[in-house]
This record gives sequence, C-alpha cells and structure tokens, in this order.
Amino acid sequence: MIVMALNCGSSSLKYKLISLPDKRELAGGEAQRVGPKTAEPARIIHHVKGTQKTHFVEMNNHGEAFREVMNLLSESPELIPDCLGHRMVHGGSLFRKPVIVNEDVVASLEKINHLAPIHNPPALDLVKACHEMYPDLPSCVVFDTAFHSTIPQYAYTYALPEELRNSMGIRKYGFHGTSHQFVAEEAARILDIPMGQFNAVSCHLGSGGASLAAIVNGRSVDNTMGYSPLQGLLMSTRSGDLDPAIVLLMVAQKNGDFDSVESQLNKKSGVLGLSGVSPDIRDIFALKNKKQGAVESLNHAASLYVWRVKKYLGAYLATVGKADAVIFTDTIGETMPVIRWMICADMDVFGIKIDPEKNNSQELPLVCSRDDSPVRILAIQTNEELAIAIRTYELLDKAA
Amino acid sequence: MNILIVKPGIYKLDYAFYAGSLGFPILEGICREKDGRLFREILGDILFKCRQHNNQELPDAIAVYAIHGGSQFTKLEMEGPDTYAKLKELIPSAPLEIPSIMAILESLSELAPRIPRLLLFGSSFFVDLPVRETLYGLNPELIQSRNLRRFGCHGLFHEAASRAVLKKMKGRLYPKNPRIISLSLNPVPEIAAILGRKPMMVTTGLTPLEGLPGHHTCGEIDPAIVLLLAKEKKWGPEKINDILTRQSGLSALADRTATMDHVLESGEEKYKLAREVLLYRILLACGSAVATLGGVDAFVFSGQYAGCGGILAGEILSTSFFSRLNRDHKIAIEFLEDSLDRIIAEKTCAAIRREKTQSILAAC
Repeated sequence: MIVMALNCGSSSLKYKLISLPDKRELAGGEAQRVGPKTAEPARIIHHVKGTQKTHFVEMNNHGEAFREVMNLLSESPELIPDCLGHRMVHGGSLFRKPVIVNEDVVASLEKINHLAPIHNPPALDLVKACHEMYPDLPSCVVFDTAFHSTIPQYAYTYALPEELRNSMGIRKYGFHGTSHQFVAEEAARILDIPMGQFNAVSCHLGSGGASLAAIVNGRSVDNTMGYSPLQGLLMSTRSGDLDPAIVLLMVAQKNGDFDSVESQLNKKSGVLGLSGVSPDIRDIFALKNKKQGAVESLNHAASLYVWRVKKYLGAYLATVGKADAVIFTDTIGETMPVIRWMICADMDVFGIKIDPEKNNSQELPLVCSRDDSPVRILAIQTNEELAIAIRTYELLDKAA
Repeated sequence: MNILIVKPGIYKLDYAFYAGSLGFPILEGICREKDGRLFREILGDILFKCRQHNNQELPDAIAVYAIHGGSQFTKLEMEGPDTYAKLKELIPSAPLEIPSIMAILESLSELAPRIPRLLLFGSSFFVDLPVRETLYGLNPELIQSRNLRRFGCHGLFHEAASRAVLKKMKGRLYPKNPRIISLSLNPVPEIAAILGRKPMMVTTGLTPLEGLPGHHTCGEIDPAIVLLLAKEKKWGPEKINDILTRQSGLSALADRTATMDHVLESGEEKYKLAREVLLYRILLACGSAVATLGGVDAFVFSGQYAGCGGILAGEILSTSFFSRLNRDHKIAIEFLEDSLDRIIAEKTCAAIRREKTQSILAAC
C-alpha cells in the first residue's frame, strides 16, 4: 500500500509517499509559501528517486497545493497514492486515536477547531479539499494529542473549578504525540523491549516547539505541554511555564489587550525573548562559544533552556519509576550533543550515565549511555510523516 | 524576652505575643479591619492587651512579617533610616501588602517609639537562588521593569527546617552539605530543594499562585488558560485573579472546602481527585528537587500541616523511584512542628540578643 502522509503548516504542506509495510520512502517534498502572495514566489520542492526539483506555481490554499503535488506525482504512474494520512495537531477529548475520514468526523473536527486555532483549521480545510477532489481516495486523520489520551486524570486535571474545566474543555492534552510515540517504538525495538513493557522519558527538542513525555508500559502518562503548546519547557519563541500572576500583570500593563499578550508569550518570548538575538538555541550556543565570557542574556537563555529540561526530566523519571531509556529527538535533540550532555550530566541518581565519546557521534540512531548506565540514553531521528503513514496503514488494514 | 509578632493580611491583622519563654504565645488573635478602623487603633488595642496580660510590661521587640520582600530585603532587618525607601520600591510588586506594612511601622513608631521593630520576609531565604532557577522565559526589559523572578514564599519554614535537619545530622555519616527536600505544608504548600543551608529550587514563583495547588489557589496551570478565560468569558484581570486565588485549588477539585489534612487523611471518596492531584504534583516536584540536588539525604516536613508529613513521607517513599533510592541510601525523615509565629519569635530574639551584644562590645 502506498500512503501519502500530509503535514500541514500554516503556509506550508509537507508530504511523503511511503510504501508500507516495508516503510520505503518513494517520494516527498514541501509546498512552500502557500496562501497570499509573498516577497518570494510560491514553490514546491519535490524529490523522487534521489533527485530534487523545484516547481514554481501559485497556490492560494492548501487544497491547491495538494492538487499541484498530485500533478507532479502523476508523472510517474507508480507514485499514485492508495490513501492519505493527514496530521492534525489537536484531537481534543473527542479523538483518542486515528480515524477514517467521513462526514461525521469532519463535523466533529469543525467543533474543535478553536482548541488549536493556528494549526487545526488549515489541516481540516485540506482534509475537506482532498475529499472533494478525490472522493474515492481513503483518508485518515492522525492526531498529535492521541498518544497522550492515556494520561491519567490526576495528571491532566488542573486545580480549577469543575464547572470551568467541564464547560470549556480545560485540561492537559499534551502535544508532539506522533513523534513521542514513534521514537518510543523505535527505542523499544532497538533495546529489544516489548513496547507494552517499555518505560521511558522522551525528549522532543525541536528548533521551534519542545516537550517531554513520560511513558509507562508504552503509554504516555504525562507531557510537559498542557491545554496548549505554551506550557512547559522554554521554547524558541514560547515562554513555557509562567506564574499565572505574570500573565495577569501583563494583561493589566497592556490595558486588557489579550491578543497582544498572547502574541508576546507565543512569538516574542522563550529563547528569542531572553536572548534578544535568535529563537534558535543552536545560535545561542554558537554565539556563546564565540564571545568569551559571553553576554549575560545568552547565558540566561542557554541555562534556562537546559535547566527546564533537567527539572522535568527528574520529575518524569520519578513518575516513571524504573526507566529503560531517555530518548532525545528532533532537530536539537538529534544534532546537539552538548545539550544532551548538559541535560544528562550529574543525573547518576536516576541511573543516567552519559558517555562523552559516544554522545559526540553524528550517526543516528545513537545509544550514547555508558555501558554501566542502568538507563540507556538514545538519540533517534523522528519521522512524523512515517509515523502518520504507519498509523494510516494500520487503521485501513484493520478496517479492510 | 517579650516579643510581639504582627502579620498583616488582606483586611486583617494577625498577632501573637510571646512573654518570657518561647513555648507558646500568651496572647494571639486576628483583628479584622472593620468600620474603617485604622492600623493605629488596632495596634493600640493589641499593645494594651499585651500589657494587661504581662504585668503591664510592653514587648521588648515587635516583629512585622510579610511574604514578599522582593530583592530589597535579603534577611531579617531592624527598622532603620532606609527601610521606608526600600519598602516604597517594593509597592509595585506587592501593592496590597507593602502599604499595610508601612502603615503598621508608622503606627508603631508613634505608639511605641522605643521598642525595636524588625521586619521578616518569607522570600528573603530565596534571594540567592541560582539565577537559572529565578528566570522566566520573557524578554529582559519586561523582567527588569517589574522585577519578574521566582521568589518563593515560605522561606522562614524552610530555613528553620533545614537548620533542624543539619542539627540532627551533625556527627552522623552524611555529607557536609546534606541534600534536603523541604516540604512546607501550609494552605499554600511549597517544596524547596536545599543544599546544606543554600536553597537551590522552589516551587512557588513570583507569587504563591505558581507551584503546587493550595486550599484555594490553582498552582501551576497553562498560561494560555488565563488568556482563554479573558477571551471566552470576557473576564477582567481582577475576576480571573479571584478565580485563581480564591475559587481554585484542592477545594475546587473536591467541589467543597478542602484543607490539606482533610485531603490527605480522610480517605473519603469526595477528596479522591484532590488527593491524587496533590500527591502527583508533590511527586513531580520531589523528582525535580532530586535532579537539582543530585540526590536526597533527608525529607523535612514543616508548616501548619506538618502533622500530615508522616502520611506524605509514606506515600513518597512507597513510589518505585523513591523506595529504590531509600533502599540504596537511607533517606532521613524529619519534622519541624514549630508554628510560623514561634520561628519568627526565635529569630527575633536571636537578632535582639545579637544587637545587644554588639552594642555592649561597641561601648567597651
């Protein structure tokens, strides 16, 4: 079966064509600058059989982008997908696992658009457009929150009035679930532990968002993100954890302009806010190395970034009990040995002993713990599109 | 030594009077601000009662306690020429509390000008937290304009509790600077990680709202929820503040007034969710504290509900992670049953004695 995994950003559309069950990538690419015209022309960077081509084409919305991608694929008859797998960031409380798209599902998805107003609406528009253009092509939706639907009530409940919690759907949902599940399954396979008995803390450290997940018996029991992706770790432009009184103070300071505060906390805080230089923690470490003695703001951004991960790692390892592994993934987790080192240093009490030489290897997947480390440390390349394709294949195969 | 302690709250003033021994106060109470009574009048009544109950003797010192001392008050401070200026600087950070303290000091200077007045703050203990622990992920201009940092609030409990642990551990086979996890069990509970005497981590933040859920305070929530309430419910900051500080916490989870002892001791079904949430958040905080300290040598329980410490210690040590730690390296469990008033009285006595000794030495 050939599955086309679609990962819809606000102005981009990533796609991968994957053959399953052999997990072979046949083609892929990214439609960029989808939507209103920008300074540079819209394009599709398409790669197939080791070659990459850039096609410049106007795409007013994600539906048009999908149609152009299908046109490109149609040039090779063997690259016609049998089904589509859509990534959806938020499944709310309604969707606890992947679903096959039908009218009821679309109607339910409409109802939870407000939970992820930046991410869900374009993805849902794409689901609808695909269904209209190719009504016979089966589609599935895979949710980032679904892996976290097993978080127990005591961990997902905020200590707020029950009426508010229930009427507004206020609870911890958790995010990056597709990635956490994928790398956890990979780690369990590498360590030869059945997923149903696998205990770990997964650290998804992206160049944008970042979260940790506590995993017990292969199931998520906690995630550092909460009702929204704002809670938790220090991220590229998001503040992460904050005293609620500070938010109130900022609202008062801005004379009740909530949108401005929301924008400040989501787009101008985090690594960018603290450093004043760059939202990318890689830049901060590079600049710190260049400037002897370093600038205070760079030191603050770097130390808070690592410190938050370390504190949450300790918290989650206490929750997990006897952990088999700590997993690092996504751009920062995969490519920054220095950050893995700083996070794992002096964590012997948790059974974590990192090997400096192994940790510096660039080859993934990587086991970078010392041989005598009771908890293994791994760096694994995440592949959300492959994860989406696998879930889609499993669901359709089961349905068939 | 006779010590009067006053603790201003919102629309009230708590007081306690210790005469001679520091065992128990001979007088204590709460004065509510009624019918526009001014602090001067209330404090006049309290001083009158102190004399009545103590052979007409006035206190030797008056200790004024508040939680938030900002970066200005780093330790116990005898009222001096620059005290008011420092308090004024603090008003934007604690706009209700600090003006009350200033009014109290002014009233006392008129009513009993010769009695030394001392200021103690719950946050002072945490002034020297490592920078990484004080930081929020916001831009430096915003942080500096309002001094937005983690302050902590039950510093006096943690300081006294860690001192008690060090005293007990003296001479035993523990590191020179034991790694202490201090749990201050109060209506707003707080956990601190302390290395010897130095605080390294604390759960509450700029205000006591962040951290563990309290009797009525929400504890840690997604910051986006505050904005959601404002947008969807069209509530202003005052209304949201009221929800988060007075209508949330363990009471909201139990859907009835819930105190820590009810939640931890009763075992009743109606407190189940509150109990599970509280225990889970405590476990997470203890895990963070272990990561901070690189291990743990002792747990110490203090505060109004220190009596619940036994149950909590049992719960923590029964988890897979802590039971393994305890098996590999015996963790001491200690309790500090002293009330906040008694801790304040002791610190005040010690400060006055030190002051007197220094005066005598200076005179010699």
